[in-house]
Amino acid sequence: MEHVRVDEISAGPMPAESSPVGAVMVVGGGIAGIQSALDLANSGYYVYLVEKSSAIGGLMSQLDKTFPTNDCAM
Amino acid sequence: MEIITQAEVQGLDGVPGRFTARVRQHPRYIDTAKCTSCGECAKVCPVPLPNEYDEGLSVRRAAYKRYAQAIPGAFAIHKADKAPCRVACPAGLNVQGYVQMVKEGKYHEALEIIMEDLPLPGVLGRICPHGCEDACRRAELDEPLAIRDLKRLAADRVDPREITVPCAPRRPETVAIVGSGPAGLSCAYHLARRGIRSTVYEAQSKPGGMLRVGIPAHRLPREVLDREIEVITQLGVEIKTDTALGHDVTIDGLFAAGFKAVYLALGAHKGIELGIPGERADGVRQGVDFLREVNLSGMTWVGRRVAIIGGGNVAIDVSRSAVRLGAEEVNILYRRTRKEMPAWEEEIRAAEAEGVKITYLAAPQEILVREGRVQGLRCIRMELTEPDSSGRRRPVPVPGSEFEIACDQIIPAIGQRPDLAALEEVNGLSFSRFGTAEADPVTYATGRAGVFAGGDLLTGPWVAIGAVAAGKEAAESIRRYLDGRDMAAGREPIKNEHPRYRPVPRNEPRRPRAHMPELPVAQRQGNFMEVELGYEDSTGRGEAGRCINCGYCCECLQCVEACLAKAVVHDQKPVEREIQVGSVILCPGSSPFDPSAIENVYPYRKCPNVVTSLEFERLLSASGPTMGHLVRPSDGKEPKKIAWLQCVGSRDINRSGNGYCSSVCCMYAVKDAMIAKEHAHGGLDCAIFYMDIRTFGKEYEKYYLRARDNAGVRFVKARIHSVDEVGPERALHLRYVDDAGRLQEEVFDMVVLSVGLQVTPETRELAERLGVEVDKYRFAVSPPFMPVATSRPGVFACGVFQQPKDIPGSVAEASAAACLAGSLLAPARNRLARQVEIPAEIDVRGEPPRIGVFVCNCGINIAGVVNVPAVVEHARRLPNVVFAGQNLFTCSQDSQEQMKQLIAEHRLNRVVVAACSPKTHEGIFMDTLEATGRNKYLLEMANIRNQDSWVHAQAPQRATAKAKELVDMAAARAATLNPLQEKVIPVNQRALVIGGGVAGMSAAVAIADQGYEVVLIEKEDRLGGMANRLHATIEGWEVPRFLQELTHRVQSHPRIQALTRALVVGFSGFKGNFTTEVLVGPAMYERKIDHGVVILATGAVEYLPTEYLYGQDPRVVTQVELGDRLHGKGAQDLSHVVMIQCVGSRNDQNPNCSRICCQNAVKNAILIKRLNPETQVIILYRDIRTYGLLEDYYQEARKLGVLFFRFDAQAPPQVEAGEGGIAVRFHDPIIGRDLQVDADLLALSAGMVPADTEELASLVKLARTPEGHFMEAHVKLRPVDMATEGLFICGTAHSPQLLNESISQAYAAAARAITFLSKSRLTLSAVTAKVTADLCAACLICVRSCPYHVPKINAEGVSEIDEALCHGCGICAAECPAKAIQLNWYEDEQLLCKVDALLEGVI
Repeated sequence: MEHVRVDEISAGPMPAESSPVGAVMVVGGGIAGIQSALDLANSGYYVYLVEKSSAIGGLMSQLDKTFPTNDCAM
Repeated sequence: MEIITQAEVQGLDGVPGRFTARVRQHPRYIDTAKCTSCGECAKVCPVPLPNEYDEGLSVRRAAYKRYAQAIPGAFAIHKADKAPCRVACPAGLNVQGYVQMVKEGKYHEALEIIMEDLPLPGVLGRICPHGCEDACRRAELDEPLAIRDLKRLAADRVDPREITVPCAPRRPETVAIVGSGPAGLSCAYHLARRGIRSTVYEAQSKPGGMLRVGIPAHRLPREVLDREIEVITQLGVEIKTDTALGHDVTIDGLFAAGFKAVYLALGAHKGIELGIPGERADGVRQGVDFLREVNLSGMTWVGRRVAIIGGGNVAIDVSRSAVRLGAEEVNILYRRTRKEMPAWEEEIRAAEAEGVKITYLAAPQEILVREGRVQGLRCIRMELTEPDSSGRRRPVPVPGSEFEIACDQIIPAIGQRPDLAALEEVNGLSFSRFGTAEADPVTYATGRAGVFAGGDLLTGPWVAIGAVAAGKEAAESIRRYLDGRDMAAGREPIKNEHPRYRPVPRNEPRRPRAHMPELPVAQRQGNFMEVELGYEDSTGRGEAGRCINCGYCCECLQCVEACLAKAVVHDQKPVEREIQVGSVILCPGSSPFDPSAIENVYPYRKCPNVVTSLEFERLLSASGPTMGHLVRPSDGKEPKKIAWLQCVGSRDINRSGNGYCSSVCCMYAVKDAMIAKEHAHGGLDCAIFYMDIRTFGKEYEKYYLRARDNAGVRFVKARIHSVDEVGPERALHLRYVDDAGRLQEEVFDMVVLSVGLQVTPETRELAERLGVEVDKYRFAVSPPFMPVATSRPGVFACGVFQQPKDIPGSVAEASAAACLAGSLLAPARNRLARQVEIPAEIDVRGEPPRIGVFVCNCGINIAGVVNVPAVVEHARRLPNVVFAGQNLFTCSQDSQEQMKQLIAEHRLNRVVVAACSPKTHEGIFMDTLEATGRNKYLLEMANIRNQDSWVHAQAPQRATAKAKELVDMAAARAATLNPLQEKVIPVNQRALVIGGGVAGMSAAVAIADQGYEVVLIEKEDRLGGMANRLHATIEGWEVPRFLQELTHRVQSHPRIQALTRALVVGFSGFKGNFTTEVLVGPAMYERKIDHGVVILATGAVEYLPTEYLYGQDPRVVTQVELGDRLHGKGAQDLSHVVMIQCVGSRNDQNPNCSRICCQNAVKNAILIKRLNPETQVIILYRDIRTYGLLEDYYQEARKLGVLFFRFDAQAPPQVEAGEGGIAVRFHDPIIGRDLQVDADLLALSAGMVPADTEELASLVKLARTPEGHFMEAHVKLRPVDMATEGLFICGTAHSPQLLNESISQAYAAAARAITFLSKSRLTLSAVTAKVTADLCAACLICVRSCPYHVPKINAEGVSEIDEALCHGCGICAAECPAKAIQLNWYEDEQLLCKVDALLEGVI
């Protein structure tokens, strides 16, 4: 596991016109969405992870083991 | 980061860099900040629903958590619109709620729900016409629920007088109510609940209004009515009988007597006359008058032969009363047919059973009178007209059809109206032309201030529940009137035209509606005993169990009671949010294909033992419905034979519409078969029926071979003709044609359908809302060479939405999308970042330990088993403990604040939290310590929940004893803890990319675009690598142009230094701080590069075949060479081209599949056919592996006439050079013959072999596979990370892949690298190993045992562990025989003291 401490980030006021907004919206909280969100948050961007259901995890959370290592999906 | 669950994106405006997204978040009905995930809400929730997480194989509650480890951990309540039964009820009773309570046998709670709206549950439970049942959606399956009878059951089991009715504090004002029918009683009840006392005036001798005088006792026993009127009088309501308005009291008089408001609920008690001659004769009596007398006195005069006119319930009540009073012949005349009859069907049937005759299509014309007495009735036959414009069929007399009947009593029962005599003169009241009073339809206020009206007086004769509703509404108006507030505000009825309900569960077993037992007909004569006798408990509860819970949550509010954290919020509303973002990533994923769409092919719905692969996955899972015990769904027995059918909903345009390959099904089927065999401990036959086995990923082919050759999974190349259920065991009979063309039959216990992945129609709608283009299969469309981009700039797609793919592919692509999303926003990096302020640390070293112990109740999770006060008391007496206390939820926000105060107040310098798992909660309490200036490593947790109360729920005393011991141990360790300092290291924000092919260049550009310097080194003298040899992709995209542009960007980028002819010769350092030595250029001058991260993109080359005459005959070429030739010379001169697949792949030397060769062959075959349709192209293959959307090109090649012949690895084609061409001999398994083709060209689909990186690998100390691919840190979840932090991999150095896949993976590696580069400093964990040099014997055990190769023997000859590299796993500390190594925070003493504390007094 990484031992990198992620500084807490929160949404702030809109930056001045013409400069971009340092936030990203990730739509879908499956394994892809989670990875995108983590990479962006760990790169200094604020992330909104929008998920349809009540919990993130998506299809992968339903799997038992995963190929080709037969590791537990959870 | 903010996770917004239960949300959907409604729209996206703006431009890349500055978007505004509109997001709608649906209510969770549980406050995530307060929910402690204890699950008490789910335990009391009565609503069972199929558990989606288990694919419907288990049941969850409407209050639920998707899965145990779900994030957010808070529960949620699944709720749709209010159920149709509730909407249909005039009084808005929460029908679904009380039905669920009845189902649970919670009659008391059921009555509480009913009596929120209705004070008369037993009354309405008998006489309500139940409009709710007409709305019941269970009728779509079989019959509507017997809702009314269930209400009665609750009131039968629990006396409504025992229900505590919550009432507001009593107010000084009083209200007068005229009429004690359902409207008056309801108004009095609801006023009482609002703290307002009332007096009810009733003209008759007993209260109840129409309920008493209109409804005979056989339908509504008097004691039931009396009992429930008492519910109301118990609340302080006074009822004055024999007091008639106009006669005994007046409205003015009531006001004068001090009443602040008057409610008029006089009802409609005046019968309507027939208007025919003879109506004044003796023996003619109005139905309502007849009933009133019977009901008040128990008797009245009844004729011998009674004729009743009318078709409503009054007519029926009269008829059944007349029978009971001894009439010999009772005849009802009704002018329409039974179909139009307004009386309830069950009442009509009961009347008939009791001997009542009903004459339809007959109307009275004249009452025949002799000597002033009724003697008979002249009637006329009627007929119905054709339906008029309103659809109604009017009755009209049939001329000349008059007839007479003899009778001595005639009872008209054709309707009632209010008696307005007492009201007509009252100031301010107005009346309709129907003879009813008028009032505001919402507030029920009349024209006179303070006077309200309701019930039948207003509506004319209507249902009792309508009157109850009116009384309740009037009570609300009266309260507002007394308060001087707006009476109408917020009360307008809201109509929901498109309610959202739970879909009717089609597979629900059909169950008929339960009926109540009845008093036998023979026993009904001469008495008014109740006919319907009520449900037995079990019958009633079973009936309630038929409810399909249309609204999901039934709002019984049991969860509100159960939640100690007060987290349930049932009235939450959806939230619309506008979110400002710079870019957007779409990864909405996919759903497994639903095989019920092709039920005619695979009987999935019909046969329980036919399951989808995802259902099977749940059956294998330890967290699944069978706890991982593999059993047959039909009977729970262990299967002996299981078949997998591949390509269900994939590679199948005809039946499913999905032409693509889902890319993952072969692998998961192989996995499931292997795991199933493990579960079964031998003796399980697993057979996979396939078209092509597509194990094309990194190391996947080896997995397949392991399944086939070691695990004994059978692979059968066949498509299944039919699946039939056979025998009582519900086994499945499969018929298929085998490889040799023979029809085979086999019986399996279970069939698993390997369902494909598909993007849902909802996702297409999302894409449309966001302006993102999707293809015919609903996958996102990306521009050429721009994987993860979409048609809308600034919006990116990844995961299965981009194309079907497996988990590593999705994870890598997700990083790639993050890279591109971030590159747009680099100037705004960290702008929204906020540093957490931490107070200066208080030095506690040298102080004696002052331990505080915080014991958590966790609601009742711990406290329900463990005696928490006893544990606290025990803790208080432990050594060094200066404070011990308990919290309801230690992790809650307010507890944290309290804890901070206590820490300061008691000057605590060590903290023990006895609660749950440090895995989930340690961070929270560490933050709490830091916020008080304490070092965060001064914390110890005792897990008295997961490891105690949860597992010892049956033995509370022993659990308490164990909790004390766990606290003993934690307190002992806490005393030994020391503050630890986390090391902060600087990061060199420069990247080194090794390899200048497409992957390396793409990664370099991606990193440089985000603002960081890159040094790119390439060992050849030009950039481009393998792509230099390519012309076009299978999609037709031109490679040279792309390569030129990419090379130009690299060479012109101000932040990229590209060094060609550069060779790595030295490498040292650790994450964030590496130094690489490189020899550059022909002069081989040496350069030292300092950098923070490394990306390996060393690439691969085409395998140089030694097979099939390659290198011996110029007519034998590789696919890359064939591509060159076709782009140079065309195909006009070619009449026969043969291609052989898997050359240099899937063999003993290289067991892996090279992934790209099948599409390469198809690409070149299509090109040949386009260049020269006359050329015969033959592809000899083992399995065609055109995964994902490449499948379409395979189909296209077949359509163009390319011939495909499968060969066995054991019998490869024979090749011989001849004059007329290369003679290729092979066996065609379909026709069972050997064939020979003389080819002008023989193209070998040579595999891909990684570039030689042996030296580099040893320099950077990275592991490679036997075939020379670098090994990633985690195959699934860290596909581009190396085991050493700060090193990343991409492109064909990782595994064979296509150009677009390499580009995507390069972006992924860039994104991962940027997570390091974007920080100027890294904080390392303090939990690392340290060596006491004096004790080290340099035995090398630590060096050998470290999985990360960190310990070194240094110049002093002792072991040295770099804390920047140490992962803190502790293996070396455990292994060191000299005890020279200690792991911070887990020093020997810190662990042994726990053992001592546990065993104190024992040994």
